[in-house]
Amino acid sequence: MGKVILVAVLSALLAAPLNAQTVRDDEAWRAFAANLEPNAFIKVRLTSGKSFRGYVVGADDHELRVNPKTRVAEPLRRLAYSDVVSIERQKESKWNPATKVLVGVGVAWAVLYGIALLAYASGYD
Amino acid sequence: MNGLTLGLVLAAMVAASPASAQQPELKKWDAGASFGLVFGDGWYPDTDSYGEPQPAYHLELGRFWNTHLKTDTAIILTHRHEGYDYTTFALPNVPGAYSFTRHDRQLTAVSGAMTYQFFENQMMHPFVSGGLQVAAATNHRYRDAETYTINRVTYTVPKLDQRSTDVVVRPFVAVGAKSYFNERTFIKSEFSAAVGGGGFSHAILRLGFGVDF
Repeated sequence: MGKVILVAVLSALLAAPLNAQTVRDDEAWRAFAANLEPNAFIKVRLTSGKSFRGYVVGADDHELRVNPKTRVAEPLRRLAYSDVVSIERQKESKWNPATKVLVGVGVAWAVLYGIALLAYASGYD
Repeated sequence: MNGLTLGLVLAAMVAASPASAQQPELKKWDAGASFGLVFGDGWYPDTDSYGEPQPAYHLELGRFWNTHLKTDTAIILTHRHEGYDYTTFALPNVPGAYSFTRHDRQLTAVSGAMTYQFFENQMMHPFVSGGLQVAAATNHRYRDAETYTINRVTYTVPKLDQRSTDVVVRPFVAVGAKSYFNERTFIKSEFSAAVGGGGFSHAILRLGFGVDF
């Protein structure tokens, strides 16, 4: 009998922080989501290990609705707060990746061309 | 009737299933053209010349088998390259005998590769790739008969006019990225390195535009 009580007490002690953590996270993310304005750009990490970026469409007590930022449009994602590991507000880049590559290549070319011009001007050929 | 009802219910379930709703229609093909620089003379293993980079143009076509795996084919075209080979040879009583031979080279190649593309439906996709390049390497080596004098010893190098076309195969690996402007058009940047019988053969650094369709 004493062993059973001991096991029960230990189980309760071990489980209590986990349960409290889960409940607290749910509530925290629900409260956080309620303060996000529509079209806010966020990154969401899920308990499944996946993450994605997208725009907030709406939130209520049950779910957070996010329009994922993808190349080809995808349907809204409806996220239960219990599936959320983290929500981060993000700053969205104004340039798409291709433009960044073009600018990077242009800058690199300009630097190399400039060095060549300087070398030529200084008589080192 | 029950069968019909069951069929309609199943069809409705499939149509409304989250899996089908989450899968956007991604294009199965991509095509592009790019400009690059070839570093290394591994296409021409029998020559010894200066190794300045040469321009190369790629026209390519890819077929996606799923969101990550793709087959790529490409045609690689190069300019005719004119240069010199510096050749030394042994002659009795003439230390350091040499000659210059001009060469005109041109390369046309096709390549096939399997590509693994990282991420799904994003604006930037890094990739790794591996395959074979098969090239027809034409080489025209020529010189007039010339007389050289070294240490007051005169020797004559005979006229040469030699044409050859070699078919060479080079395995290669590549890394790069497809960076999108929008849903379909992208910039492809890639670095590839090929090996031959003697180790490193050549590398290609290139940048081009493409479209998914």
